[in-house]
Amino acid sequence: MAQLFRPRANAIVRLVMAAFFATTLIGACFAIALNHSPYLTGVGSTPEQPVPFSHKHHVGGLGIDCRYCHTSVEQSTFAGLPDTRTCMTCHSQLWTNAEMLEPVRESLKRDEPLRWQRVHNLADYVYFDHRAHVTNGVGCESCHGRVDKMPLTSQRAPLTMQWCLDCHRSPAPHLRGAEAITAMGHPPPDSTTQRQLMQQFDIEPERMSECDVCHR
Amino acid sequence: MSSVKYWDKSSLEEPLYGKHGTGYWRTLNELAESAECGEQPPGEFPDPEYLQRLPVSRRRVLQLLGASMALAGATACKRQSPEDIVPYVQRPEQQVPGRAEYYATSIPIDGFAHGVLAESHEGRPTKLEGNPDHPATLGACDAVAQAAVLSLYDPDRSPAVRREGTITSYGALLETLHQRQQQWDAEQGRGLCFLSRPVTSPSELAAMEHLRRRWPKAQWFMHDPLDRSATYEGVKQCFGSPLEPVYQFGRADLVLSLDANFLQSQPGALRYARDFMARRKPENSNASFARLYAIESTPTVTGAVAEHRYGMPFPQVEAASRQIAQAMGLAVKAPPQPVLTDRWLQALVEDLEHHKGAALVVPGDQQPASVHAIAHAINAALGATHTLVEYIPPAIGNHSDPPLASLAEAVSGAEVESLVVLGSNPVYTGAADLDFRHLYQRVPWRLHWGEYNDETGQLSHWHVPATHPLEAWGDARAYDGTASLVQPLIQPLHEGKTALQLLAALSQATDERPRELLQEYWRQQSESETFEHNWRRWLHGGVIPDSAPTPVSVSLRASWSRRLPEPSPGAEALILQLQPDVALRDGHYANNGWLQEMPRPITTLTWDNAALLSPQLAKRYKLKDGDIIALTTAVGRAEAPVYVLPGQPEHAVTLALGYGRTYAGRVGNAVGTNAYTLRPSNEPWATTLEALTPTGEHRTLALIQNHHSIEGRDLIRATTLEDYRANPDFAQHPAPSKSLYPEPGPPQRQAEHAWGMAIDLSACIGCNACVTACQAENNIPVVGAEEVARGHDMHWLRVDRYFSGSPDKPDMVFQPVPCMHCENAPCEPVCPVGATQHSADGLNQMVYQRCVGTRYCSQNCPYKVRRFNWFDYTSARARHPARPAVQNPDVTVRSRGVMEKCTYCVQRLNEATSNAEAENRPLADGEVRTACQQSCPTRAISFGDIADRHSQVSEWKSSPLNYGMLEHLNTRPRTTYLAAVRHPNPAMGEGEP
Amino acid sequence: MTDARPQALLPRDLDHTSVTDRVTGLILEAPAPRPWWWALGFSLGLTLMFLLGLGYLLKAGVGIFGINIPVAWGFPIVNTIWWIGIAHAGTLISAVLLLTRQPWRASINRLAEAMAMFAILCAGLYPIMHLGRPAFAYYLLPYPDTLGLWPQWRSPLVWDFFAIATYLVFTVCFLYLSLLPDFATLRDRAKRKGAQLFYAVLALGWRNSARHWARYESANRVLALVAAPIVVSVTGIISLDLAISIVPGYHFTIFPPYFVAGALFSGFATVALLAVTMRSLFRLRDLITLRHLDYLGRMMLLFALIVAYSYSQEIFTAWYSGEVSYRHLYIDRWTGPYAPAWWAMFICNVMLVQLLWLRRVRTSPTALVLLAITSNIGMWLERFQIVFTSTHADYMPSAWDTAWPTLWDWLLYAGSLGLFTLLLLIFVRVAPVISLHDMRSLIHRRRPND
Repeated sequence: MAQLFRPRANAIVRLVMAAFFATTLIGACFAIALNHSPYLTGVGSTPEQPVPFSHKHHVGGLGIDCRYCHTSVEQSTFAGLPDTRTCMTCHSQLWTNAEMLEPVRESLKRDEPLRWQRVHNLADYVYFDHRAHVTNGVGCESCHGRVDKMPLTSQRAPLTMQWCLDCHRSPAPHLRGAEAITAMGHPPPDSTTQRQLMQQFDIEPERMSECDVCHR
Repeated sequence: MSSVKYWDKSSLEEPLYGKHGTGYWRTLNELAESAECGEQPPGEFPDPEYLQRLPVSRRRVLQLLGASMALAGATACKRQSPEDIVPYVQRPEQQVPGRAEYYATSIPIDGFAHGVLAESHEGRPTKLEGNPDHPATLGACDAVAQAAVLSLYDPDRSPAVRREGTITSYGALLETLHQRQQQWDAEQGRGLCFLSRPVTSPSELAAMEHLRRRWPKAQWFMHDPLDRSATYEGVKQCFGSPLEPVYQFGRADLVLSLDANFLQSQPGALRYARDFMARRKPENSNASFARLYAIESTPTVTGAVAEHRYGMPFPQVEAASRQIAQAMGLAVKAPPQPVLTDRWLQALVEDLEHHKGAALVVPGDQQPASVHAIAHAINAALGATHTLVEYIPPAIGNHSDPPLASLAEAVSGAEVESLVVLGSNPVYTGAADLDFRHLYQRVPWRLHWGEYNDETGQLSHWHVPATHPLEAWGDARAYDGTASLVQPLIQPLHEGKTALQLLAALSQATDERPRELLQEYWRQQSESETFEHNWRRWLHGGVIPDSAPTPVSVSLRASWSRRLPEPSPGAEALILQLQPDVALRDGHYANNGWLQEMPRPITTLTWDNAALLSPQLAKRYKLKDGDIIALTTAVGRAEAPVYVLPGQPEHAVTLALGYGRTYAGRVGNAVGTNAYTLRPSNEPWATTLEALTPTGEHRTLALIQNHHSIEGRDLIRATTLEDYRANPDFAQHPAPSKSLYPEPGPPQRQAEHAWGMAIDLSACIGCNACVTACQAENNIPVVGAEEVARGHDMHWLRVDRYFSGSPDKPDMVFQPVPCMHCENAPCEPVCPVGATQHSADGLNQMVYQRCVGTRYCSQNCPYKVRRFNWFDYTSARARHPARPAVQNPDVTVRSRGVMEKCTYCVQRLNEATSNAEAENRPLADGEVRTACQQSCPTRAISFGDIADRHSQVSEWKSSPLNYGMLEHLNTRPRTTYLAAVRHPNPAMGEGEP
Repeated sequence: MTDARPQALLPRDLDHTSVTDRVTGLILEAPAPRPWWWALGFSLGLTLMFLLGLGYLLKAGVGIFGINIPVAWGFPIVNTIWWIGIAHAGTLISAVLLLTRQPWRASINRLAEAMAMFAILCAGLYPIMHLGRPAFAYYLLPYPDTLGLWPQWRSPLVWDFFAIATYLVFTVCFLYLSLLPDFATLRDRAKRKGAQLFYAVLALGWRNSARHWARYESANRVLALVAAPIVVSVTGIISLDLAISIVPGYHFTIFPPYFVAGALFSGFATVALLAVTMRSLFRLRDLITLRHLDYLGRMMLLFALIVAYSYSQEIFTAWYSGEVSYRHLYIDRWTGPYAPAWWAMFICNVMLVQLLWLRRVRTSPTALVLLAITSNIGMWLERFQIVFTSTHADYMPSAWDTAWPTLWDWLLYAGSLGLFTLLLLIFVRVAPVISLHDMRSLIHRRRPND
């Protein structure tokens, strides 16, 4: 009887098989890559804010300390956002009728708060404690990046659990002295300083990777 | 001081700003801007359901995570949903966003103040804890007070003033009142009647007094469904004037309870439990160990604690007390036939005589005046008066007002023109024979003031919503007369008015500010120059110092016994005994999910009031748990399911009040049987049961515990004091032999602390306060009757109750069982995804976000302390949706399909340790207290660092009484127990109760 | 066919052509017999119910099952173990019998393998349905996630996950390999172009060349060699899910062999069941002979005896341990709320099977079918009472409670039976229900006396 297929059919079959396995493999790799990609972690994202506030100007330019606005960073889990009055302490004198500050003045006038967009947005079952970090030698810069170079604030760290763990497992390279907590562009400590800092803040990394440090 | 801050209406949301993470502040802020508030004048009649509709970002995220297969991929790789972050316009002084604040206030329960410390997150009260400085609580907190915070956010609370059912404004009411006042003034208040609840609030009483004087012809009535008139009547018989007895259990070596549940249900119970159980510490061998005899009509925790418990039907308690009085040589008529066996009586009386000066007799609130009289007489004979029992002018200022029955007469006599109901719900709580439902509607003008638009509110011309204690300015007195202030933690969520506001409106038809009204009263009570200072002190401390009245000195009238009624022949008929529900009280708390789901002590029943039958009676009628029976009394008929309760007197059936509501709200409606329909006004607590007829129907009871025998397992270790003194190590059973395999043991990582817990079984009275405290602290969902009946209850902590001995005279023991945090935890190695791990400091951690729900951990947990989210119990779609606003922002709300369990309140541990670290100091012992430990009235729970040799918990664990449950499984539990020690009277022979 | 004399494995008149005609004819010419259509319709209905149940399960949550604390595992676990058991005999028959060169294997191994294949599918679904958050089942996979977490290898459930997956892959390969030559046959005999193409693709260019056969043989033998250890380890591991725990009633060291025996017992029962149905459905009485049934009966008996022995050892251990909760466990199994399940199991698995000592019973199709059904019921009950009675009353009397299956439990169980049948029915219409090449080689090797 007549042949149903030409010989090259074999090649096609082989190809199909190969393709099948290849796609599964590539698919898996892609999914994993996507999971780590900025697209999902949000690295580099710059949410639009009601007021185009520039950390570059206020921190880099004017050299205002982080704690002037983020007042509760050393007392609470929440770093705190400046209330409208804090903005107005200066802006009742400076740029009193700048267009871009209109929302701030509105907020004060109508007694309605500004609604900022969260830039560093952790899942709500993660209980991050700002105090625990800034009082233990972890600088603002370590997570928030060089805000003094950010005209508009954007996310710098992937904020994935893996990223948290990397530091929680070996914190030493990310430490700095209490005096430099809010400093920007602080050089990483050398090995001796690292040891000193670890002692100074008595940090025990072996327990910092436990679940209930962040999850409850 | 910030605690006195009182936010003005325009910024309902202001205190709620600045919260990180949970997004509450954000959502409540949305609430204020949302349609139902926006359309109307600010704050007016917000839709009562709004709290349930509030989206909460954390819950949203968790639901997404758990939602469904469809979302599987999406959840795995999904970007965080964008989130607003909203600062204050002007931050309140001293307030640190993200840190809780605590304010002292008090919660009135049955009129009596319970001093509490309220935890507040950005102005949102989330948790109540006992106020250590308050005499009635001393830092403890019972379930009812705990649950008050849930009622605050109850969407079924009456949101608005109503005129004949339709919403109107307070202004409209004030106008009407203005016209009425002129008419009342004209006739000096003739035809005007007031029906009030029991009131201890000094300021409120003063305002009422003002009205009495203004309208002398007006009539005042007081309706207390949990009628305590017999208490005052009894004292009056003995000493001539109605007084409130206050007991000093701290001084008692021997206590006889005449059907008094003084450990849980009487005013001052928290304090009494603390004082009495503190006298029962086996460890300190020099101090004596108080002994308790209980004669009771229904098994209660008091009877369970008692060394010798004698069960008998309610009417026979009087006969028993007569027997005792007679045996003690008091001139009282003997009962027709004795109820106590001679041996029991003799042993008891000898014991009483032997402890003269340190022995105390406590009559039950529900028992008739004669029992009270006899009890006080015996106390006098024992020399207990003024030392163990003091008499003070009743804290309830309006106790002498005539009861509801008199009002009913007045109404049927058409004397009542206008009726003002102050915080009472007579249509529901009125005795059946009064038929107040119809009488009430015959009153031409009816005003009702109450937290709920309840059965009475529905039938009133005017209904005015009352404020919740946590949003009100007010004051109240504790059982011992100590006055304390009630301060708001949040601006009224609805249009609620405080009692003072309403009374002010009644007298001058104006809307006063509640704070000024209160201050006005207290300013008169103290020197004006120091007032401001005092006021702040009172608010801060939660108690007004030296406000307790000095005890009245009394002497027994010679004629006291002549006033006693003739002893009644104990009828053989079936008796129906009514009793206040330990959770719902008179039914006021029926719409509170936490209380409905609180396992009732002894029965572990939830969401229902079963008719308690003795095993013998049940056998005679061939009834088993859940069979529906019809109960008929002289005044009514009702159907209730049966619960067969060992220890229940054979010829008595007990039914709790407070169920079968029709206008309680979504939670409380149609739950259980309305016992008021069986209640005659002349016999409020016990009446003859004319018929008990099985209906043949059946309903599965929502029981927490289904098996009642301990099956001879070595779970609870107990002995008598003598035996303990002779052999202190009785609880130390041979340790399990060494394993052949290397011990996995606790992690090798070195830890600063080692958390552990010890529970003293001698001190536990099984009141279940800890269960509700845990529910409040850890966002434990309410699942409802059906789910509980299916074994899907969610309480992280359960109080096991076992019966032993004969069914008619059983012994009862309690054992609170939280997670044991085993050092060698069976649940850990079996989890395929490692969602439950061990921490170096000994916590058995549960990570909800990692859990996929294989439930292997629960299968492998020998203590069965893990709980599983079988359905979505928290979202707005749930049968009993969680109330976002009341939830603890420091604890994750669990989604469907994940396991959860006791965490030793890890959120508190973390906060305390990080505080200590930030302040560079070691963590002090007792600085961290778990929710259960905090609420325990008898301090039966100790928690702390067992690495610290001097911590309290280490001391407890070093006691010879300390033992671990199921140790032979080599789980090495961190939660251990102190064996129970009792002190029975050796003279009380075998077979005697 | 009532003669008691065991009849030959092959009727005399059967030769290469006739057997091929018969079997391929079933697929290519003969219209499906009416009962087949009925069965198809019925099983399709059940399958739809299954999907419905599945949908509701995913929407509502596992709470719809009759489970609670303490009985947190229910029907899904029971059914998984049961289906896996059924699958096993399939693999083992074709593998072990191949290795041991049992001639009677030829006419039933195809059925056995197909059955194994579909049983695994059913078995594999349940563990996922059983999860509280099925969407996150992939947490059991080791892959580089953004959490920096891995599965916990100490947990038998992870082993389970891999065991079942491996088993599925293996079964697919094994079945497909043995189908290759037959697909080729079908391709060559098919008249319609469509059929020709269909089978041509499936046959992957099989040309009956000597090289093909050589490779086929070796591959087949290798797979067969792998089969036995896989079978043993899969059930072994599943039994460890229970045995690793400290639950009285789970924690028995005898579990792995005990479960393997149980699995094979129910498996052979199912093969017998299918063999008899197929042979009457497609009139294959001369290919699947009474002697085959006789052998199947003997296997059933053998493993039933091992199972019975395991029961006795379990009971002995419980008593000998002296541990109060273990002893109570057995009293409870005999007298407690689930006692009927235990006694029914005992009758099915221990008492009734003794009838198989009688050849008359083994060689009577009806009797064998009945016993096969009771044995499967018995084995299902065995798993039921292991899963339910063990935790419902373990260490803490206060936590004791009973859980009773709900409508959804039953619906999803029946549904899986439907799914199984549906797949099998479709299979027998597209692939030869009897392995042609095995039959041919059998005929080829036929000795005169046989």
